This record gives sequence, C-alpha cells and structure tokens, in this order.
Amino acid sequence: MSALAEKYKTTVDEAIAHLLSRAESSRDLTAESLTPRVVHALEKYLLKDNAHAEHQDIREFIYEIRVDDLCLILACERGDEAAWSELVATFDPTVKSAARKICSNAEDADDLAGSIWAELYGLRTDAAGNKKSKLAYYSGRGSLGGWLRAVVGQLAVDQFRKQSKFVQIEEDREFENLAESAAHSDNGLVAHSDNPEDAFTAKETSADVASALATAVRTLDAEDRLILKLYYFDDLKLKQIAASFGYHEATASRRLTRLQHDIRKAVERELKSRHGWTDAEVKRHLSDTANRLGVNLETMFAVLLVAAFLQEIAVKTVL
Amino acid sequence: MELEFDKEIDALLRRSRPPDGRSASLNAATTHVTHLDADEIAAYSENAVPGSTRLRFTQHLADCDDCRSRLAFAVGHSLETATAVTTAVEPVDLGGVPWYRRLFSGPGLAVAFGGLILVFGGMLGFMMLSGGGDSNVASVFDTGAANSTNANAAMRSLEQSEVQSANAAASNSMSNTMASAPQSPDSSSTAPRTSAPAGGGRQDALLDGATLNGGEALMKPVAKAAAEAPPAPPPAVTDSTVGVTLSEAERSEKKADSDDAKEEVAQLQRQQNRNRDSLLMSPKQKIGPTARNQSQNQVQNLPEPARSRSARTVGGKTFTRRDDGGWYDASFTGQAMTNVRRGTEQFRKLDDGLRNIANSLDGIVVVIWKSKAYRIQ
Repeated sequence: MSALAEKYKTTVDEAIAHLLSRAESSRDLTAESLTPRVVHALEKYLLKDNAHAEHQDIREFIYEIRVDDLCLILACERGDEAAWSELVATFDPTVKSAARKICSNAEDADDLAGSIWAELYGLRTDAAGNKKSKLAYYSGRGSLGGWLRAVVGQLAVDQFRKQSKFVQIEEDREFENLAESAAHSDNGLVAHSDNPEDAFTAKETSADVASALATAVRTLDAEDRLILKLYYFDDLKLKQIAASFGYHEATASRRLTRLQHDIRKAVERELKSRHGWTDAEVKRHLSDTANRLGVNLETMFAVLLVAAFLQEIAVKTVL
Repeated sequence: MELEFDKEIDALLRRSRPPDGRSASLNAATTHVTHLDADEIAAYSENAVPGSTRLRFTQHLADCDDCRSRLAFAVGHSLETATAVTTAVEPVDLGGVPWYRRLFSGPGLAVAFGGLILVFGGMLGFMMLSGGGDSNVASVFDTGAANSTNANAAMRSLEQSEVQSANAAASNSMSNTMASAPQSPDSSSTAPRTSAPAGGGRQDALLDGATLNGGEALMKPVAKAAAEAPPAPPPAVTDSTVGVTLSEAERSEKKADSDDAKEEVAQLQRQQNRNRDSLLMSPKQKIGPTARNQSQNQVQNLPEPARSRSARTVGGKTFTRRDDGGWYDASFTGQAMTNVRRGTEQFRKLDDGLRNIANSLDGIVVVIWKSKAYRIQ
C-alpha cells in the first residue's frame, strides 16, 4: 500500500470487509485477497487526482466496486477452474458479440473471441513463470461485461492502426480534411462549375468555413467536444451518450442543440472577424451548403420513386 | 427559449466526419499522454469514475481519437447502458437526424414504403368492397327510416308507407271477409302489422290511431272474429298494429255512425299532418314537461294496479288493462272522471290527441289528459 493509501488503511480495511460481506458469492476469498486490487483502484481513480480525499469518499468509492465480478476475477486468477468455467459461460456471448462488430464474418469473430479468452486466461508466462493475464487489469469499478467489451474494442483499434496506411502525427485534421476533400468533390461544398474563378472562390470559401468550424469546435469545453465527436464521428445515439454521462436522454438532446447553436455563433463570428465575410454571405453560404447536402439525397430518391411509378404505368399500358 | 435543431450546422458537422468514421491521426497534445486502458474506458462508459478523475479522462477523450473510438465501441455495444437508460417522461424529439431525413435512410425508407403499400392496398380493397354494396345502401335509404338527419324525407316515407298500410289493411280485411272464417288473433293482427311502416315503435304508436281510423270500417268483420277467438297474447309495446277488439254494442253503434267514420278519415289526414310535426319532437317533448312530471309523481303514488294482463303505450302514455277490461292510464290515481262516449258530439270536441288515444284502444279507456281524467267508452 502506498503512502497515500496508508493514512486511509483503517477506513479501507473496514470498507473492504463490508464490501465482501455484501457479495453473493465470495468464493472463499478474504478481505486480504481483495485489498491489493481495491487499493490499486483507489490510487488509480481517486487518490491520483484528489490526494486529500475524505474518508467518506474513500468508503463510497469502495462500496461502489462490483464485488461479485471482482471476486469472480480474483478466483479465476487464483486458478479456480469452476470460476473460470463460469466466467466463460457467462461472458462468452458478450465477447463474441463484440468481436462480430469488428470482424466481417462469424468465423473471424470466433477466432478473435478465442484469442481474447486466451489472453485473459494467460497462456503466456513471465520470466518468473507466472501467468501473464489481462484479468489483472480489471479493478471492479465498471462491470465485467463492460470491461470485456472495452478489451475487444482495444483490440479492434489496434487492429485498425496496424492496417491503416495513413498516419499523421500533427494537429487534428478532421476539419482540414473537410476542406481538402471538398475541394476535390463536387458533391459537397464546392459548386461544379467550369468557371475557374468560381471554382477558386468556392474552394477558398470551403476552406474558410472549415477553418472557422475547426476553431469553433476547439473553443468548446472538453465534455461538449467529446459529446459532439461521439455523436457526429462515432455515430453514437443520444441515448447512449446520455447514459455514459449520467444524465437524461432529453438533456443530451437539448445539449446537442445548444452545441449546434454555439457552434453557429462561433463560426459566424470567425468568418466575419477573421475572413471578412458579411452577414449575407455567411447566411447564404451556410444555407446553400445545407440545402445542397440535403436535397441531393432526397431529390434522388424522389426521382427514383417517380421513375418507378412511371415505369409501372408504362408497362401496364403497353402490355 | 428552446433552441431548434440547426440543420445547417448539422450538415457541416456531418461533412467534417472522417470517411472511415474515425481519424487515424493523433492529436499532438496527447502523444505524450498515457492513454486510457480498457478498465478506465469501461468505468468511464458506465459513469463509474469519480468526479475529478472523470474530468481528466474527459479532457483526454475529447482530443484522443483512439481512446474516443474505444469508448464509442464500449458504449455502443454495452448491454447495460441500453437497459439502464430510463425513458424520458415526455416524448423526446431527438435533435439528431430530422424526420424527413430518417425516411430516406435505409430502414426508414423500407418502413415508409411498406406503410404506403399497406395504405394503398387497404384503400383499393375498401373501394372494391364499397362499390359492390352501393345497391344495398341505396335500398336502405329508400325506406327513409334510417335517415334521421333528413326529417322531410322521413315524413314523406312515413306518409307513403301509411297509405300502403291502409291499402294493405283494406285488402286483407276484404279477403278475410270473403273467407268468413274465424280468424286467429295472430292473423288478424298480422295483416296490419306487416303493412306497418318501418319506422320506430314510437312513431307507429302515434300513427296507430290514424291507421286504425282509416281502416276501421273494413276491419270490423275481422275484429268480430278476433273477439270470438281466444284472447291474444299481450303484444309488444312497440307493436305498430293494434289488435282492436270492439264489443258488439260499440260496433253496432258505429254502424250507425258511418258518416262519422268518413269525417274521421278526414280527421285522419289532418292528424297525419300534425304527426309529421311531432316526429321532430322528442318523446319527452310530446309528453310535455308538466305531464311528465305529473306522471312521474303519480307513478310513485300509483296504487298497486289490479292484475293487468297487458300493457300498452299509446301517445306516450302507458295503459294497463284491468280486470274490468278497460285501459287505464298509469297516471290515473282515482281522480274524478269525465265520461265521454265515442262518436258523440262531446267526443268530437275532445282534443285530437285524446281522441286518437281513445281510438287506439278498445273498450273503456281512462286517460289523464291535461290534468283531467276522461273515461271514454
């Protein structure tokens, strides 16, 4: 136990004993078995940022640990085969389900799930001959199922990074990419025109908008920026985002709308102050952009529908 | 002030999304910062990280695409988050994709088209089915009885049906007279019944008197046979036909009053005209508020009637036949009566409604009319 945790030793021991008493199945574990893991979680999540935490905060932190999941993991680490069987039986569907989200087919997903279980079991050993298992990284703060999903997700990201051929080690370029792709695309911000002057103007306009957008997003606070990216870049639903942040779905919806409003204000301010746009230019360009993006898809489907009906009528008439 | 969804900014932000859903770039600010491990991401996704630490994680996740992607993966496939989310108290119009765009997304488009197919198929089926039932609909409306909104049409149809019933009664009675066979009560009462108008029983009750007056002379032989037959079972309250059983003495009296019968036919026509107006009135209006209250009060005070073999409702009044064979108004509580004989001048001076009631019932009729008791025989 570190020096930081030493001064809370009594509180920690009492809280761990109380925590263990609440477990449905302690699996013959004692408080001493849990103490190292709990203290590690305490130092990792609480004392690192709040070295002078209150004793009550310590107790509350320990009480919130998922004691049943933690006991299961500790039993598996101890070599309890029954615990390991229970772990696999209970969470194999979770792991496979997460693996299928990454892999294109079921066979690859099963292989990935198998490799994950092998990593968790600890087929490898260290220099001392001890099993090297990822189970040691589970603290019990989150659920075991959530932790397993995160493990699979980590593998997914690692896999993507290995396959990726384009790695940029510079500042965030999402919005710069926007301008660059828009410059080479006629389905976005750039109007398709044979007039080189118009094309150049459109390109410059798109770059200005992208720059203003990037600046506006950077000015947001961390949580707003994270929400925005989770929603627009990662396709998470507002319900899922709200659950992660601990508030209501309606709150998340209102927050997103407010973010859009704030970004608009910031973009307009940036375009007018730094790029010298007028109010009319700002309004026209933003409106044109949205209309161009929106109408394209809807117009296409409307045309398809009309064509299908006309074809049907024509076939019946002819036949 | 509630802000509205900004579709322009939404479109711009969506355009800013990297093609692969997450950027492969690394933020310079996070290159030298320890990334979050699986345990930290899992705890963060389940809102299980203490406040101060959570702030640090949030700042890292906001700028680190890899960690954010892992977080999104954990959140997106979290079963616990899906079940732990409480539904909003009010319907939430998510500030996400607008509804008109959702229609054009893959699943939404399929659902929309499926719904359209069902709607159009249902409309076509309904049109086909309704097209075959048009003739039936027309025939129903021709009777005029079902169209309560068109009172004029109803009155005209009633008039027509009444004429038909009078003619039918005349023809039936003539055939019965020719046969000169004792008629069962059922058959004698059947003929007028079948020719009764198709309207409600109440309307028919009002017209009963008129109907009978019109065909009374022709029905005399029939009535005589009916009187000799076993007593008929008590007819239904809404029975439009009146099984009139006249006593021989009264019948002979009426033979002498043939001229009076003709006059009564004319009165019948006038009564029909008045009855058309009464069709528009509610039953309570016909009875009248005073009479209604009176009848309600009198009903409460009504002594236990003698054992009645039947009950009839005529002109909104309920009559019960007592042991003496007379029809007694339910409102009658034993007050002094005015005796009136049918066919006399005194009878003709009575109100039309009262005369109709008296003519609708056979034998002695005790009726309360305008707070006065009349004994008509």
